[in-house]
Amino acid sequence: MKIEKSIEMLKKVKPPEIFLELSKAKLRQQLLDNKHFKKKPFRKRHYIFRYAFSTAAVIGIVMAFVLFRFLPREVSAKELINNLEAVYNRSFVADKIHYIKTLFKTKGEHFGSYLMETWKYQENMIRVMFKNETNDKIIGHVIYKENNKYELQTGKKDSNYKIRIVKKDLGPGGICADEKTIKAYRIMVFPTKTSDKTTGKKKKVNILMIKDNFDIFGFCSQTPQNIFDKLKADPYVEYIGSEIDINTHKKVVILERKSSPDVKSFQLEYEDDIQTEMNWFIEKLRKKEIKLRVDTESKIPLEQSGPNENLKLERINVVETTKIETETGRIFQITYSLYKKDKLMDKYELTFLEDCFVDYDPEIFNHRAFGLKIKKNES
Amino acid sequence: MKDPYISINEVFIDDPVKMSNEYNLVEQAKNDRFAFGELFDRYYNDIYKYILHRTANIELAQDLTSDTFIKVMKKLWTFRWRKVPFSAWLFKIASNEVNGYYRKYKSYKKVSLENLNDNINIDTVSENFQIQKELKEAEAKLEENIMFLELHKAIASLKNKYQEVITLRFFENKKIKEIAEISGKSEGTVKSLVHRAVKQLHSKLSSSNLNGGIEQ
Repeated sequence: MKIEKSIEMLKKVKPPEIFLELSKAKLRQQLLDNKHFKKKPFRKRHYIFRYAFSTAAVIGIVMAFVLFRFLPREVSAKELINNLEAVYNRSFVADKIHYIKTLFKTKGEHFGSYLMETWKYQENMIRVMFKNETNDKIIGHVIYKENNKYELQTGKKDSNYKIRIVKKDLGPGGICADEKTIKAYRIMVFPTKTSDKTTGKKKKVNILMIKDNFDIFGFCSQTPQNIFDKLKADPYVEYIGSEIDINTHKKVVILERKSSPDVKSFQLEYEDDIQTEMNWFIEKLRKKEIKLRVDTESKIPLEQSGPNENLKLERINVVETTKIETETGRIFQITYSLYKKDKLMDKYELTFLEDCFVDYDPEIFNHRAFGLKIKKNES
Repeated sequence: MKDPYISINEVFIDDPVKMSNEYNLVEQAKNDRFAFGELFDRYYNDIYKYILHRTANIELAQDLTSDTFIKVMKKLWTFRWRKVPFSAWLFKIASNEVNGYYRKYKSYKKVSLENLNDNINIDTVSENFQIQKELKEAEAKLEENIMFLELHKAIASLKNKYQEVITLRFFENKKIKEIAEISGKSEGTVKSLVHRAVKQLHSKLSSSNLNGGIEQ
């Protein structure tokens, strides 16, 4: 109750209502006459500050833009892939032929180098032509249309060399890879460098079994669009840097994918050129119709074969390098480098010389005009 | 719970028209001396009254009011509207002046206007004479208000923060919200401050004659 008394008192007491009119008038006059109001800069200073600040901010932004634009800077792989998207995310160009010209090169001489031209029209008409890079001579020409295959007859006899492969049932001395493992791999075959010299008539080939979507035929037939799709899907693509391409003298930026597919390789000894048989063998492997069986003295299964055996199983790392032209933003080149224990074992390079759409012309797929003969489907 | 200290004479500041006019006037006063004069006319009495109620000294209140408006003139360009009325900003400056004075001198010393402000020169003797006369008359009038002076003695013995809230709440009839805006504290803090200030004042008054008068 006592506090309420004090509150009551506070409310009861009337504070003085005193006003000093003369002092007020005097102070008012002095304030209004004060030099503070007379200085023009009082008003302007504020705007000068604002103006100076705004100008500095604009200059700063312009400078930042200039520096950003003209100073060399590191770009990210993501940025480059986004730029590629603008180039390659094109809708299907109806009634146009997609024409691609590529140059394929390898490090060794087992595949050599050649030019490949492809014309593709509405998914069901494809023409592929291979040329020797040096003399422009056609070394292969094929047209697929209306479910038929038209090929160039080279006159070359089919190879009669044989590879000793036992179909289906295993002999007592054979080596057998686990069928499940075989199914998961793609097969690539190429001769070793020391083939003829050491073994006379016999030849050795390296067989690569790569647990990736990499095979030499697939590598050659990929388009810039395929490469872009692959880069986009891979979260581990790295930006490596930029360089001037020694052939075109154009600036390129480089992206790298380090795939570590479970690559295995082994050597296969055979009696001479076995391309036809080897093609058949690979095809059958792909179709999983046979089990791999290599004629050798060893009885060790393929997966357990040691390095001193005829069959060698070793880990190979594959590095995929994509070069993009900075001027056009297009994929210029893709390279597969195969490393065994950090040593470059092999290198495959595909350069895109042209990639465009051209008007449809039936003559482009006229097999008669190019002397191509129909070839029956092989089972 | 109802605030026990709300008085009937509340002055509502949340008037949009008043706020709008005030906004225009303040913005104009930043660059225009006549607008500043209008602003001065509008708020001088309130500020002087508040400082007088804090100090209970005519001359000191006049000096500190001068200081307050000089500061307002110099700092007006920095004022930004942040949902707080302009008057709150003025009262805050006035409060700071009074608190600063008490911190500096602890007790009142006569300070001449010339010494406090170099920019202002009262240059005519006759004007000085008239003003001195006005001050004397005002002092005489103040001395008549014994009740207030006695109460002020008790209030002046409190800490500055309690003096401030008691004066604003009971003499200036400010709402809790307005005191919060002036002091830059939350409404809850202000309520608590007022409560503690009244409690402390009560204990001071209990031992004084004035309290005895109330008890009777």
